[in-house]
Amino acid sequence: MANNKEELLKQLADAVVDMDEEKAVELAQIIVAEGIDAYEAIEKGLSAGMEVAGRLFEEEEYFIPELLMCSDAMYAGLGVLKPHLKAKEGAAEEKVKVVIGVIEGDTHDIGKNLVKILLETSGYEIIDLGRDISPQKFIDAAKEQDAKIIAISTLMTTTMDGLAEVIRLLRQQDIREQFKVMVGGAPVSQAFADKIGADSYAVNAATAVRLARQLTDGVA
Amino acid sequence: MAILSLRDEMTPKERLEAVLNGRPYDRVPCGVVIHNQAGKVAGIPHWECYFSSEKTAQTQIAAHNILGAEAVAAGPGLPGIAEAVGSIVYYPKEENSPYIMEVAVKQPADLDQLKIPNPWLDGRLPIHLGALQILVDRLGDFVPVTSNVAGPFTTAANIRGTEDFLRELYRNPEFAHRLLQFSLESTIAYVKEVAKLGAKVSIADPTASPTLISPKQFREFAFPYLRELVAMIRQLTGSAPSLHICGNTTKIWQDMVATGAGILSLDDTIDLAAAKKAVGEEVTLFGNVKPTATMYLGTPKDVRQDAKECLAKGYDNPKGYILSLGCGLPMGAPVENIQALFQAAREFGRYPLRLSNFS
Repeated sequence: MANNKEELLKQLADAVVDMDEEKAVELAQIIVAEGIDAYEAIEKGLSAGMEVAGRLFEEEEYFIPELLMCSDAMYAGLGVLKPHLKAKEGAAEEKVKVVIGVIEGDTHDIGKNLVKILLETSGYEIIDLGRDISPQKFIDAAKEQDAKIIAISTLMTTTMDGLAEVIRLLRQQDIREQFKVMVGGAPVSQAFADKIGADSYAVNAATAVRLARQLTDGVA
Repeated sequence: MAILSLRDEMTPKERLEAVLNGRPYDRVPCGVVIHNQAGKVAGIPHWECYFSSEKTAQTQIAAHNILGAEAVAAGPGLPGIAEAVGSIVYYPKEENSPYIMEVAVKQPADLDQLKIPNPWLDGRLPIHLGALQILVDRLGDFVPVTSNVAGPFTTAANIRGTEDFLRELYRNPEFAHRLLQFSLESTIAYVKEVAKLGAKVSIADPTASPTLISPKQFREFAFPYLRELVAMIRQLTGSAPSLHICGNTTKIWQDMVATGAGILSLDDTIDLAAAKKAVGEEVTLFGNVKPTATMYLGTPKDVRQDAKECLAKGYDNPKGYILSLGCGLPMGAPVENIQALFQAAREFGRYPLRLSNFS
């Protein structure tokens, strides 16, 4: 049974890495039927698979289509497992919340969506505001949700200043220290992030996860 | 005082032709195309240009006459062909770029309903053609007039929605190829009219960037259609187009050259010296001053420095070099920075070219 369980979780992770949506669903159903803990299956199967996919992306083995296909398989498996999650007593740890979105005036959201997927599978709770989001809306959502991280992206130079505006508004409202601000997107650089006073700059989606962990170290 | 002695001896058109054909020229050309800043100079907000051939042409004429642009352009750019077949583009009335609001193909079956556009009727294609007509008439004898089109891969993504299209590459490759073929044919329909007007064509295919798709998928889904588009453009206009792909394209340079493109326009993440070594015997290189760090956020001094670094790497490219940007000019880049770039081409790029000019 123990062997079988480890084997099933491994296969579930592989199904995610192999972009095999049907297989992920089929394995998730077997896992449920076998009475394996759904939480464990999500963590050691689906999330583990996405972590490998993220690594392959960083190593330029995988690209955007592959990551999208992996996340489709992951979400399909999640759909099967989620109804079987038992509410954990006491042990239930509060997830760190991240407010994420594409800044006002910009609708390029592939990068944002990838960051969201990878953060979600790394145990963060994501509040996805979508695209074309005003600076104040980021702040309102972060306050309302008691988020620790505000993650903002843009692909265009015309909208870059919106990123700075979020930080300006946080300072103006005297709440800059309450949140960590992460920025990313093609025209954004470490130098720009430093200039506007962001806490970190993620060059790609996989890096964003590592940086989020650093930013919330001790909090998560 | 020094500036007075920097007179050009060739028209931009003569210069470009000389560079592309390996003949002597007075100085390195500067290939930056200016839209928004030229509109400001001409008193025309960029959003008024989208629906007026005359205003588009006036803006481009101001770009040349007032700002010194050495090439003028009008065209469908990235969303235009997709727009002409049914995708809906939103035009912000502020300093921001238009974007696709709704795609034409929401379900794969929708593709069967689409028709190859009539360039004199559909979308804003007639506006671009009208602007090109004016530009060819007014400036065509001495300034290159170019129409910029998206590569078929980018157009397909703009017809289907980028994420969904990227999924189709795996889920339904047969459909992806059909959509790509449709995108190609739609683009060719437009290019045919551009050629009749006597304008040239340039291609940008940002969605086919190695930042998004693997070199393997580039070869399967982007390359064959680019090659065919380039062949048609060569045949129709008599000139090999330039090809721009964003991001780090190092792994697909050979493929970009194999499309038959005459000029590779390279992102500022690329080392021009490495590109020169790899493909400089086969194509003219174009680039790659940093659009954001230098042109948008930098000063004229930064522009001069960046231009010198590019010139030092590119000036001796066997197939020629054109000083330009690594991607499009940001709308908010200050006019002084643009002028500094043209000035740098005149000051440092003069014949005879020597490394000591730029160091």
